[in-house]
Amino acid sequence: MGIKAIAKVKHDIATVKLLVKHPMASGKIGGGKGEAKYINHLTVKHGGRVVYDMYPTSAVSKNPYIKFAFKGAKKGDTITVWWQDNTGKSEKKDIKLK
Amino acid sequence: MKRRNFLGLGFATMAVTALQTVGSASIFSEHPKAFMATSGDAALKDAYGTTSVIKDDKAKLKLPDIAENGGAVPVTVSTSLDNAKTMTLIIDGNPHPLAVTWELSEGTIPKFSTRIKMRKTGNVRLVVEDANGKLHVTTKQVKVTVGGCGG
Repeated sequence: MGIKAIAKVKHDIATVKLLVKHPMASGKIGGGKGEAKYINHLTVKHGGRVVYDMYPTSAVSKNPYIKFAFKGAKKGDTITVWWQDNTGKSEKKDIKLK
Repeated sequence: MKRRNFLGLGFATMAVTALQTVGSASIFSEHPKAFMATSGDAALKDAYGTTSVIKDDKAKLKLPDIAENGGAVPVTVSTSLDNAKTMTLIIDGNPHPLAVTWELSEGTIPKFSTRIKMRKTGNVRLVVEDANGKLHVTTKQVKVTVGGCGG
């Protein structure tokens, strides 16, 4: 597991790029004998409000890459990335906006 | 996915909703069935309760014409609509076509990029639910030379 992030603010718009380490396995490999393991909810919060809310499935590629932007941010602010997968595993990380 | 896993998914979602209080009830917690649908239209019906859509240029979908690697196809979705509620990506050629749903909130710029898996050549649909609950759809065909659903 692990979340890599680049988050930059220009004027009041923050652009966030995330790379989340996760297999995103559909369980369909080799005739469906594998176990499904994929992120099914990922949110990013900025000061208590949700700025990104995604419900992926195993149709999102391995080690998901995510890019989005939101308004009302300034340099030095913190965003919190949180995800959970279908097996109940989750991860949370704070990222400082540059 | 087996029935057992499907039920587990439902409970997990309820737990998430209870813990997280993301605000408005999510499409995922209300319609977990949609993610298990085996046709694009069934997913649309499960998620939004209708298959009646408006085909216009309000939903914007950026995808390559030809994907050499179906395991990682770059996609950018966006909308010019103000106050759109949700965006959903449907990949018709996949075993479970509903690929991603985004819930939009105030301050979020409705333009997202990610990478998706495509099993075979087929249509990708972007559904944007506007503030009145109407669905705007854009469709694009992508040719896949090597399928990417193993994994």
